[in-house]
Amino acid sequence: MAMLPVFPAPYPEECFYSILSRAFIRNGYLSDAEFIITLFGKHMNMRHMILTPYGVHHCSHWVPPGSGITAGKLLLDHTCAQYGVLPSHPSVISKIRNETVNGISNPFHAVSRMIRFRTQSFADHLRFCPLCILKDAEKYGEPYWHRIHQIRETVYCPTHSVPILNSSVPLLSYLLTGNHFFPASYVMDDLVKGGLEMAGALIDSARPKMPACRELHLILDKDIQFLLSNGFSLSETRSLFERFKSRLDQEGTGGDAEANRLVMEQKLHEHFNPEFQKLILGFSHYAQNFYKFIDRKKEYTNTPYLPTVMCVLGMECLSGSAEAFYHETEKR
Amino acid sequence: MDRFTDISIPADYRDKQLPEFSGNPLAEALPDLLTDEDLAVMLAREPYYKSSDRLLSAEMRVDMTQRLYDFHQPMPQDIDIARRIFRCIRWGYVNRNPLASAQVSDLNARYAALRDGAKTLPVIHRPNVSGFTIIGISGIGKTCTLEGILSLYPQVISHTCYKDSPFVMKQIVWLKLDCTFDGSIKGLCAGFFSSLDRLLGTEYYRMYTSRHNTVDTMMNMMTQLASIYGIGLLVIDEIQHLSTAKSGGQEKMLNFFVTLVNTIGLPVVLVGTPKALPILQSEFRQARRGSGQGDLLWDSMQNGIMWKMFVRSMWKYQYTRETVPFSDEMADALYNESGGIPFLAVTIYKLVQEDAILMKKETFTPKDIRRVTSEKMRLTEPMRKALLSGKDVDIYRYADIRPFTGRDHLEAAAVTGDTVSRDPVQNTAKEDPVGRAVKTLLGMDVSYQDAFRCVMAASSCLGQTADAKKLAKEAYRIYLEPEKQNKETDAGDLRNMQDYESLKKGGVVGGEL
Repeated sequence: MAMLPVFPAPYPEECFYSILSRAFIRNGYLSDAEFIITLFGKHMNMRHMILTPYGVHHCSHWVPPGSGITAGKLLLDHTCAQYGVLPSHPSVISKIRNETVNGISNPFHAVSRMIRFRTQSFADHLRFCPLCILKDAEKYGEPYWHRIHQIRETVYCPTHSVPILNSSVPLLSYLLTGNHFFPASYVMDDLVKGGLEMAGALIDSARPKMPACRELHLILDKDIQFLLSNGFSLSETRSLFERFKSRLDQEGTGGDAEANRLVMEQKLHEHFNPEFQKLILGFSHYAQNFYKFIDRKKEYTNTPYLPTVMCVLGMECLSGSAEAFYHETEKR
Repeated sequence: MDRFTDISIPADYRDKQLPEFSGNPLAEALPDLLTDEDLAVMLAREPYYKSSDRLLSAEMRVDMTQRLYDFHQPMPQDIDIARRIFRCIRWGYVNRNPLASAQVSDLNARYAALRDGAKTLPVIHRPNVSGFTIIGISGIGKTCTLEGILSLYPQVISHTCYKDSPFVMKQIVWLKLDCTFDGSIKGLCAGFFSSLDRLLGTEYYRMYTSRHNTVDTMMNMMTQLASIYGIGLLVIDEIQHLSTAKSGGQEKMLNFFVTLVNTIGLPVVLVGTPKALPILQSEFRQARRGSGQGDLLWDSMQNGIMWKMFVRSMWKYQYTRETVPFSDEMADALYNESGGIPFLAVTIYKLVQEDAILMKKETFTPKDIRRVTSEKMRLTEPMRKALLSGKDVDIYRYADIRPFTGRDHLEAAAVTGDTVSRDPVQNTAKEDPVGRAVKTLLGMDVSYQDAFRCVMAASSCLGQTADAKKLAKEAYRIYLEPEKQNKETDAGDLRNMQDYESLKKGGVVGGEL
């Protein structure tokens, strides 16, 4: 590991992987493997850097002190850690928050041990909002990968309310993307050159495949955006759950837990795929089991991960609020 | 990596007071412009010397004559080159702001071309400054002068934060490379990567000089890295080695330098001996059109006032027991033996002192200068004779030291668009008001050092367009200033009899003043 002669200033909401991809270009490398070794001292799977804070603690080796780029800042602003830890027990979240935000030598160990990031949270491809790409290319001279677009459960871009699309870079094939850098400027070059016309065509072609419940998804996507930036602080104040509750209130369904549960079940029926419905409804009135499920207890290790936002919704659904959910599970 | 020592200095951003530089951290981090007077002082190199050294043992004194190689007396030529170089560096950054979206976009476009295996990189930059060429005879002090000038600017600047935003970048302000002995591009690229590794602690040499990298890839990578690190000026020394390049090699390398200018706006300064002239004139002419800085043909010194000033400045570094006074005869002898080449003059002066000390004579005469030169500098004798004889047949055998002909000056002018006199000597005299002003002051019994210092100061006050007479007048006023302050209660009038006579003698004032 060595101090990098050039390290790009992170753009707003840019994911860690994207920053490293730009650093790859800025430092004049052509070999991905060489740059990964320079960064981490060993081969690493770069796919982890798309959502998780995997490797951010090496930041102190790459940039000189005084630049304002710190591991803590990368963790909070450029990874999905705040979103990823949400289904964790509040005490765990509080611990992570204290250890990372308030500065510990190695946030990676604390977070990576406890973070509940699921492989399921990875989308199939690196994803993008065509309008964000064009806006960034115009503003900064290059597009970049946004962290929220990479979260699988985000369906629409919270900024432009247009569908988030798959790029040509698949993520599921380890061999293809495991140790490669795909800078957005390289992958999205055609779109940048094609401009609004091409972006419009891409959006139009995606519309028929989008879920019917656009409004709900837009709300959820804005929530995800909110959680990405405020997860740690919300976990302490519990206002996250209040926010969810007020969201339900606005829809005229706030109030007691039972009513919430019914509304949530109804919404689940309406808007989510049968697999998810089956999963959540299978836990009906058994918060303890759901807790075990999201905590990956051994009887659930072979079951699929549940996206973070769904976990939060599930808690609301089962116990009325996440606070109540944890209170209930702890009591048992 | 173990050999890496960080020589970078932290960026100190200063308002350059020109809108072109505003908001560009690379330009704002450069040192402020120096006045001609400051430049003259900073470029001078005076070896450590104290007169009591003359009392040391013969062995010690012979050893200490080596210090003479540290001596450097700045000439008006040095100031001219310094100005051009600093101008290239500063204005070269105008269209190269790493924070500008266009610059970021260009960088990514070049990366895409590299990744896709393109043979050439897209030309998307509008060059602001193209650099210039310095051709001077071997030993005239080109390299020494250049290194002295370049050392006035930090080589690597470390940026961490600009206007409260992260900006992590190592900026290489200048890079000097030597053209390889065989004029190969691969060797030049390897030297470039190696220099970057030394300055930045990177491993580009290992990464890009492996067997599977073609010359084209290496050249493209060099272009990309030069852009990434914001290299302000690339100096290629010993360009005459191109004459030994394989067929087509000369053209390819010169085209590569043009590409650096066109693709990333990097100013390139080529430095070489007259041996390089035919190559540059045949291959580079078209490309050099539009050069903003002009080219510089640096001939051997004339046996005039500047030569005497040079010898006089060097003269004080004497290690013989007896003091040998400076005289015009000594200066003439040194000129005749060195052919007006400063490096050879220093060597001769060193050798003649060594001889005097070892022979226990502890003094020397012009005759000794001639004798020692013929005894100890036999290898260079034919070249020196050729230089002094001025005969083409001899001179062209030693292309590195052949003086410039009027044709050379015209050729250079044709490239740069300058107008020159057909007679290079006349041309030099006509275009060198500084030298003439110094000469005027010397005629007024002002010391060589003071004359040069004051003329440089006057030049910075009046600008470079001032003629010799005005320069001399202003320089003399500057020279008298401290004296005037000391004699505040005295007559206080410059026109006291002695000074007025001096001015009159020097032709600065006449009856009409």
